[in-house]
Amino acid sequence: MDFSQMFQNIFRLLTEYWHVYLLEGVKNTMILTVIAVLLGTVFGSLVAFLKMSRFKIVRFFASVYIEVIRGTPILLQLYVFYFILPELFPLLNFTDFIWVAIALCVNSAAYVSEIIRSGIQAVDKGQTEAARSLGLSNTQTMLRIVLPQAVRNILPALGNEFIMILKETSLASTFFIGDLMTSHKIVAGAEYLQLESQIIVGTIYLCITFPLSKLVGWFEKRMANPNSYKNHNRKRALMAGGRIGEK
Amino acid sequence: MKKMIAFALATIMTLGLLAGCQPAANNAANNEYDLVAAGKLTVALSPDFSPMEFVDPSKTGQDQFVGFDVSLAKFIAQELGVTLEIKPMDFDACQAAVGTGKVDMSISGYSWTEKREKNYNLSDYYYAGENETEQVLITLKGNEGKYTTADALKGVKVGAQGASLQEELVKAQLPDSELVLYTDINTGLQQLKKGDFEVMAVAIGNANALINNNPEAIMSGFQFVVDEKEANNLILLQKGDDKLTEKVNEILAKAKDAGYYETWYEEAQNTAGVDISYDADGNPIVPEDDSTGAADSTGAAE
Amino acid sequence: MEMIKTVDLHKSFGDLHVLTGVNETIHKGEVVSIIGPSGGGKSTFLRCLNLLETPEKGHIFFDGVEITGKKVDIDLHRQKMGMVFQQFNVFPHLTVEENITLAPKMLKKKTAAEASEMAKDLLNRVGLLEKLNEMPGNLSGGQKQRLAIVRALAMEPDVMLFDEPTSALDPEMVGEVLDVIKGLVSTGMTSVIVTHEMRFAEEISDRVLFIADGNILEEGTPEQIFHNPTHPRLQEFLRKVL
Repeated sequence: MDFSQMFQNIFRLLTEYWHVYLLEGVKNTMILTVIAVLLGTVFGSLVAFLKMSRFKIVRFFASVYIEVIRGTPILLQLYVFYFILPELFPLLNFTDFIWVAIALCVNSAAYVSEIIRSGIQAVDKGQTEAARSLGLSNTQTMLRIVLPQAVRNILPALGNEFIMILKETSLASTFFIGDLMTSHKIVAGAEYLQLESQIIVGTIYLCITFPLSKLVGWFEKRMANPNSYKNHNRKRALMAGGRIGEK
Repeated sequence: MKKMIAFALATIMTLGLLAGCQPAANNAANNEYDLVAAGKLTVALSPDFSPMEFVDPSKTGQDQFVGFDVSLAKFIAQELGVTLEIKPMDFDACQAAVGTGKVDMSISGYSWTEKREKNYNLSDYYYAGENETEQVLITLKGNEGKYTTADALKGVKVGAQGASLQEELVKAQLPDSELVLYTDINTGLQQLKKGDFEVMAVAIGNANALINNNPEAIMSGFQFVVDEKEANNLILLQKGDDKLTEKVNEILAKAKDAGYYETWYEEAQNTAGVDISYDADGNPIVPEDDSTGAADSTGAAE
Repeated sequence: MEMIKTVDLHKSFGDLHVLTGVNETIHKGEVVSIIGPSGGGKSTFLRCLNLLETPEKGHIFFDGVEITGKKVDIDLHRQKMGMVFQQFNVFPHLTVEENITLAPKMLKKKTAAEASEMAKDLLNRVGLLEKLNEMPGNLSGGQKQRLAIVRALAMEPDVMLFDEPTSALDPEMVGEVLDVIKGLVSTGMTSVIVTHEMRFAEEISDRVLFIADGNILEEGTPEQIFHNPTHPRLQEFLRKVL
């Protein structure tokens, strides 16, 4: 393989098509990812609570949804949302971009719901018991005691989900939806320079995901610190008991 | 929790109602050919196949799609009296798009195959410039003269795109060679460079565009025998969509009589930056003034 | 006056019949210790009293109301039953003060100032006033348990339930927690205490229950239970632990 040739090609593609990669591609990839993760989180939270419902039938449907989405390739899901759902619901006059975005949201929601559920269930059962024993209702316990603690399990995992979805949006380029991988297909198709263009988009993906994963790692470390709940509190832990109060 | 269930049920029921409703009545032009979108001819194509269909990255929206098939699609829309909407997608997805009725047709450099005949309505052949008149093998520099005959190709690895005309040609005409499938032309080219196979079967038009951008690729000198079926392209329509198929065939005949095919092909090649003339044997002559810096460096290495 | 009464209380976990029809009455102002071997049903019995475990059969009356009845808002009754756990279960995401004031503010509609005032008073009683703004993660085990006790007291309960409050503590911290409980029962707080601290149970209890094999096998004054045990299971148990 002629590497000097390849570098020249990469350089030429960059100077000629940088706007296709960076302006169009990166922009749409970020838009798709943010939509998918945000709406996926909202919908995923709902699914997580359905999955923890008292009613068996509700849990069953939530499980079916999660298993179907997690058990099938995302490409198939994109096909379904792109080809089949617009036929089933002709009155929903969405653009192809929206259908693809919905597919990614639905996909993301299944994964996020499991992140949220396991984040909630990882909170010590004793916390719930303590809250209930004080007289807090189920909902109050969830909102004031469990969720604030679950968030520290959930947030770093959500960050990782963001990175996963960012990469998975590339499959949406099957329908030339305008994301970064679409940019690659357009340039590679016009120039017949597949590898060169792929190296360029790969590098761009890495430039986005690497700082993100560093950020998630930093966040995880911070969350592991017991003082993270209140950062103004930096006093050292005091060991051994103090005096017993006299009445 | 009850509220949630109620909400979920309401959503499902609403969607169900929407599903039950039929779309609003189409306008006259639609009713005649039952187009999928009102007043629009919706065409799927895979714009990674220069010079037949590709994207001009300097343009945006529908204007960015260029190439022979795009010109043809525009002409068909014009003859039908509707506007054209191109839906770009991967080649596999294009066929699914026709099958599911997402688009009216797909014009994306299709050759005839038995399975396509079985599963789709196929239009009459259209003459895709010189793109498909010849089917050739390309190889890497250094293999000049090595793979010119079927005998020389015995036991040699030959690459072809899966489910393509080229795959069938290799099976039929080079039965003693070893067939290796690739997913698309670009990937195939990388595999050729990497050494997954020694030669790669492509249509002449694609071969020219490919060689133009990749100076280490050359013509092997081998040509497949092609008959009319394989030299020409056709349009994929939904099975049973006979009325539109008939009309498309009329339009194709009209384009042929008017001599548009040659013009479109030349335009497409110019847009693709391929400006190739042929010598008496049908081998391309690469003009000197078209060689880029990249081509020079390879030349020096020779 | 009857504070808590159980009638024929049954509870199973799978095939394991943990409570086999317990009948017991605890009176107002009484301090009752529950002793017995592990797995005998002590903790389950205690946790049934505020319905953290739901018995499958039997009745529980609290302050004259059957809380095992169908239309009972258990949350309201739990406000009057403080509970202290073996594992402290303090809320790690709230400051010491917030741990105490959360429930009174939410459930008893106390103003922030009232709740804060009470929190300071309670913390002062258990020697933790200086930890007011600390996060629980920075407290020792003994301090956490003292916090858990005053968190329960902040709801001004009618009865306190202690589920092995010192079992998870390092030995040097057991004393500070027992002292707090001692101080509390001396104020006349009705208390039910599941414990392994026999000397402590003997010292503070009005009555001691010996629970084994899913039921109360013997009960009586500390004097009777610890010095004149009659049931062979209790005799055997005391031989082992004393």
